[in-house]
Amino acid sequence: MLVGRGALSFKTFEVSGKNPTPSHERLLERLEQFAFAGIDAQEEGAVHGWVAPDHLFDGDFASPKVFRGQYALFALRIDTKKVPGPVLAAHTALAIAAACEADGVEKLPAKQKRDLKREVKRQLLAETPPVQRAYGVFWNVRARKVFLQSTSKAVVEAFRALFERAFELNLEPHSPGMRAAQFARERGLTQALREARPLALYTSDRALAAV
Amino acid sequence: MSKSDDLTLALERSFLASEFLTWLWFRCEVEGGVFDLPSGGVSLAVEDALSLASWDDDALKASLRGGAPTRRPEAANALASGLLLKKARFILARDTREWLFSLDGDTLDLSSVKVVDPDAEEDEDEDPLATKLAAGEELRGAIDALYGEFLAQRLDGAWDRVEVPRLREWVRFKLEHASKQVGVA
Repeated sequence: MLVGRGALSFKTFEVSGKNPTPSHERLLERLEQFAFAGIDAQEEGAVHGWVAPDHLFDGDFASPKVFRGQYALFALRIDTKKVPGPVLAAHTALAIAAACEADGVEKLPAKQKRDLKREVKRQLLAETPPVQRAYGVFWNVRARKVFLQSTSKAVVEAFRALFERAFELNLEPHSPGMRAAQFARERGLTQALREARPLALYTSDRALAAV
Repeated sequence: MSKSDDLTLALERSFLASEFLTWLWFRCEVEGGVFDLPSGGVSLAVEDALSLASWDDDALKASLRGGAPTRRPEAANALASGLLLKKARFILARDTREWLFSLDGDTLDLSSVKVVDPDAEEDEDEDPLATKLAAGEELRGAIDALYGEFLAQRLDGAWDRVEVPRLREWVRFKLEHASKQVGVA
């Protein structure tokens, strides 16, 4: 099971928008529509999509599997494919040397070098397997809260963009600053927040040089 | 105030999160770490893996792990040198349950959350996965409520007058204790 596996680490989001508590039917329909579709053999970059909660290749969004207790469970799959720069440079150098030898010349024209590099990259991409990752998601639909089992900035950004597109909803990540601003606004304490300065606990004259 | 004003203010006041972690540490040591939250009482303790950092661009950092780090002289000295708690492993208890977790002083994200309930009984009607996720969400709610309690004090007029001197007194006390530990009193 991808969702809830091991010790939990997660980022929390508030859901808002026109219909922030979608029905089970709509939720399943949108998961299907934005399901992970794979990465092209010769494509470089990252591809995102939803998978069902069991494992990386689980494309079966069956209702009993997705809806557990008060949660909707699914996962964000991200496949990335990239040819490492030094590997591309080494293979390109070999291809250029082979072409020079075949043509009986010392140097190749710039255009021919570029074409060779493009062809080498195409071949290497076809041979490079994608890095496949998936991150559990649990959504308390009624409470309008979504939890993503990753705190990595890149994963959070990819998740937020896909979630907002797939469900046509807005996601606001929990952040201490935003919560403070909201807290202050609701209680008429915005001026106090504006005037807050970082806490200085300095007693440096007493700090122990010996420790 | 608009949402973009909120965002600007939020970015400028992101130092509040590490102040919050430091304040939790202070409350745990000075007042026993018992908090009466709207969702029920909790008790809290700072457990391990302390990361402290100063609040400037070229941040000074200190990490302490193992051997009751909150009581180490290095922890007192770091606080006295102006460092605040950036990350730590905490333990929170409510009724018979305990949560072990790390709390991040930049984002307040929770990580490595483990829930222990020695009194939990197998209930065939209960879904253990849903129960585990709900426990994670409950912890999130408790931390948010604690942050709310901190903000209420932080934005109150009495913060500078009452709470800051108490925090400084706590650091002074820790430092004196540390001096005795290392024999430089």
